[in-house]
Amino acid sequence: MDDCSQVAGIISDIQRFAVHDGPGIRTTVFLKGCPMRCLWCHNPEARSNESQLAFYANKCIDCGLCAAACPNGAILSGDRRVDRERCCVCGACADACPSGALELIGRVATAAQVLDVVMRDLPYYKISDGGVTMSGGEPLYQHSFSIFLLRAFMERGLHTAVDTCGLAPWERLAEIAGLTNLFLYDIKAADPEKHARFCGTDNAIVLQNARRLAETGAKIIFRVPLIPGYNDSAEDIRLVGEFILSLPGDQRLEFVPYHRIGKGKYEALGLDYPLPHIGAPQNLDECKRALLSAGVKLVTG
Amino acid sequence: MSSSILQDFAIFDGAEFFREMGQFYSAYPADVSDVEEEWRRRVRSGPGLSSFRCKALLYEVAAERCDVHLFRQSPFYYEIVTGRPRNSHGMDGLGALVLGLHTDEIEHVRSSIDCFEQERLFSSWEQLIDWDHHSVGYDNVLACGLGGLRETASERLERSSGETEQEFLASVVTALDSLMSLSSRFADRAEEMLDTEDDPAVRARLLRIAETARRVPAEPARTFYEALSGILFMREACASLDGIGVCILGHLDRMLEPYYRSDINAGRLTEAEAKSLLQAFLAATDARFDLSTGPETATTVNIGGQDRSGRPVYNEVTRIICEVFLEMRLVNPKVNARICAAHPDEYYNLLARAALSGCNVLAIFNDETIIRAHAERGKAVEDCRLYVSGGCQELMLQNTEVNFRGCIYLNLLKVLELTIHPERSTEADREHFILDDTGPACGSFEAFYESFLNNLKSVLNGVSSMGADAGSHAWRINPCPMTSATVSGCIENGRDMMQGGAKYNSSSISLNGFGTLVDSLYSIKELVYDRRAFSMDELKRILDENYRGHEGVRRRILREIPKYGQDQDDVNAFARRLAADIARLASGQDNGRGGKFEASLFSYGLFHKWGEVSPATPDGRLAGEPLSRGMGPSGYGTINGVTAVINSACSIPMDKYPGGGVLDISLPIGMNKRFDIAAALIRRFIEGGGSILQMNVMDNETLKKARANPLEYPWLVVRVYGFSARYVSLPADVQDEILSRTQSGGQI
Ligand code: SF4
Ligand code: SF4
Repeated sequence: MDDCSQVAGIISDIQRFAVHDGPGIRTTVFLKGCPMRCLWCHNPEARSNESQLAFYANKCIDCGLCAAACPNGAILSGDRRVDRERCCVCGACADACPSGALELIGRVATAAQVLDVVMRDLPYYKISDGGVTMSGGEPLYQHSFSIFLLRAFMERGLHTAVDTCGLAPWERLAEIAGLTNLFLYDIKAADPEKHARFCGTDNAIVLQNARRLAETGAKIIFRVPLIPGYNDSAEDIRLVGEFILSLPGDQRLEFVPYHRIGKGKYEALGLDYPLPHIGAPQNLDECKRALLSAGVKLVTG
Repeated sequence: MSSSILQDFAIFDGAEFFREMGQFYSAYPADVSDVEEEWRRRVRSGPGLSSFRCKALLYEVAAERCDVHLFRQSPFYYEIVTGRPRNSHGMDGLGALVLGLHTDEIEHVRSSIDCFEQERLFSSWEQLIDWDHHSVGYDNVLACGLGGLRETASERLERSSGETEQEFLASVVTALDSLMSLSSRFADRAEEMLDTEDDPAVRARLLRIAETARRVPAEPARTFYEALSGILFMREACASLDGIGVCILGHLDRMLEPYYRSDINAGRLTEAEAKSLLQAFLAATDARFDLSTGPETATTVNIGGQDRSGRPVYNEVTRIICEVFLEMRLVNPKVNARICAAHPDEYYNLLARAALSGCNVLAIFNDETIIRAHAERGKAVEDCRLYVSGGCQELMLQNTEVNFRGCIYLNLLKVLELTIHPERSTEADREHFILDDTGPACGSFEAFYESFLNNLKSVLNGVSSMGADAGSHAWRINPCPMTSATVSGCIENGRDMMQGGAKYNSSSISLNGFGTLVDSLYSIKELVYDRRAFSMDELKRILDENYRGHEGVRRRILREIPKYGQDQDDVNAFARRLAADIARLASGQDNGRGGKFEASLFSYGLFHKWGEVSPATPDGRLAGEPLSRGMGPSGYGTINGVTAVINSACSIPMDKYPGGGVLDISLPIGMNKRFDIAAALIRRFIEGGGSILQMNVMDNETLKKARANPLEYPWLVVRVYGFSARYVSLPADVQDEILSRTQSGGQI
């Protein structure tokens, strides 16, 4: 099966002119579905691998069309517009909504549809040494769709990056490695107990995969989210640094400071926001200095 | 002499420079009533003198009586005290006296077009004649010297026939004599000042002026310093004495490079000296104008581009000019940078750096597109390669072309309104245009589109014929023999630049609201004809009611009807077709000065002004909101990245638009260090066939507006931390946090 219009996956978004997900000007494809459940997740809409209904109260003009369209009587009034118990996520209300206040997140897209968007910026990739980044969610989750897309990108001469949490059978990662020019590899915490507590799973596979990937000589940027009070103690940082230094090859690391960007999305999806009490980290420079003096290379720029 | 040491005359003290000039100009406008009185006396002495004679008398009186002022801190000589106010680049003071003899005629034109201004159809605050956007033929001056030009003019005068021709050529000779005498008077003044001056650096400058000003620009320039002196002198003299806006300081790096190279090779000049001289040259605009009042100086320089033979221009002088701008953070002159695919990456990176510096003085011009657009109108490609642009981005060929480029602005949306609502046409409309009233009853989109084009054609033909009428009188109202003397063709043809004497004479009607027009027509196509969501009558009613009670419809239009700027094939194709049709209709009419009208998608501040008083449009825009700007998208659709905007704009055949079109793009906040990204965007714009590009990094003001009116800023992208997001879609507290990062007035 090699026909781009036959193969499909479920995506939450495609963002053009992405300039923080790898080198140059890129397009980032966000796939739905993720095996981890980090407390600080800022893409909650991409965790489930099914469609979800989002409601953005600030866009609603109270026209009532959604209520008329809903077959299940699941439309309430006010800011909590959707009765999540009754809603079967059929999307009828989102179709009826004129303003985009109700939106079905996650749509089935064929590889051809993804390529259509991605290829529009081909000239920019060529000029800027950019390309395409697979993110999510977790690209390894919709493993065969990801493989298909990556192969299609490579065939078209695009630079490919994969943004992964590393939690997948090694075989999958190994298969994808052959189609990936750059990994953006998340390390949430080096301490297994903390990792289990905050991300819903222990980090043994993540760290083991990281090591095996490094051994293949793959090009990797390790990304560490910096979450105040959770994984940013001096000890946390020291452990992460130690792990990076223990890997073969010339490994680099970059911090991604916590931000409350995801808050509005939780509200829109009718989910409770898990970390209402913390703000942006104040110790970013300190953490960088600690790693630098330990001999860890940081990504600059 | 060591290369790091400046000869005294080249020492530039910025603080002192600005202090001295600020003090001098703060007393402007100077009282020149005695000079004016003398001129009036001489004009009265001969009965019914022609405008040429009146202008020539003005040159003579000015050369005899106007004060010439030297600044101790500047090595250049250019300030002729003519009553031109501080914040003026021409069209005021003594230079405007001849124009002032014709207020009745001007008033007549003004009142005849008043009704069109009232109904927002077109606007012309210069009464259909472009007195503003002009240049000196600098290359001719530097190469021949005023003496050389005078020789040609007096030879041509001997062979002249007819009174007008003779009067014109005689006034050219007078103009050149007056210029040379003014220049010598600067030398005299320098000598006087030397008697009492002690400061060694000031003395060095005065000595240099004393020995140069008698020779330059009377004779051809021989050195870098002489070339700069000649350019500045000519610009200021023509702006002060011809009553026109001389906006353009010229294609500087191309003109200066040969002088720079030969000076350096001969050991006459060091790089540091060249830089000091350019500082004093470039800072003269900011120092003259009172920047605290936010004046429009309309002054520009061009850099880069190509030379006559098509070789890319990018040299030491280009680099020094950019350095001066970045270091001094000058606000003026605006830098209009020309670039082509053959330029080295280094030049792209330099422009990217300048674009992201937040100075906001840079516009980027695509050589291939612009040169081809002009060559296709029958101009010699060697001449086209020397194009320049100013007061904003109005295009003209340096040395050979005199344009009326920025004096008539047409509102495309008003033409659409007249197509949808023929009953709104006024008596004056019906008198001047043959309007097609079939729009509302059209059974297909093709028929409706035809009806719109018919109206546009009729309006453009009508307006260009009004323009031609007015333009044919320009030379009688205010001839410009002084500036004409420098423009190729005028002396040869024995005709003033305002009379079509230049080698090329073009005009434009600037078309406003292109993006809003594309979206509006596309909405009509989709909603009225393809989907049949409502009838034309219903659409008219919805627009009349300004979408009141139809907010759902409006939201659906905003969200579901594809928009120009979103890089969708169908809309791109439609925009391309529309742009080609418009270009055809806006080209080729006679302009009354021996030239033709040419298409332009350039807009000024009118997108805003007209928007405020325009009714709702079919693209979902509410009454009172701005129209789209330049050739950019309206901003009403959600746009997936600035690459989509550039792709959309590149689908427009801009080589059909010699008047150019400006695309403004906003880069995400946090981009201000990503020179590689900005350089890539520039290169894609150039390779994709764009026309003129302005890049902005978003600032505090815009964020505030977006915070208050999220619906109007769906495209605004900010960098949160390691990633970017649409600003208006961020939670309120994050929006505030990002806003607070820009609070200090800076950018992030
Ligand atoms: S998604 Fe379907 S079931 Fe859920 S609220 Fe909307 S219309 Fe009702
Ligand atoms: S259809 Fe959309 S805009 Fe209308 S009430 Fe429902 S959510 Fe609000």
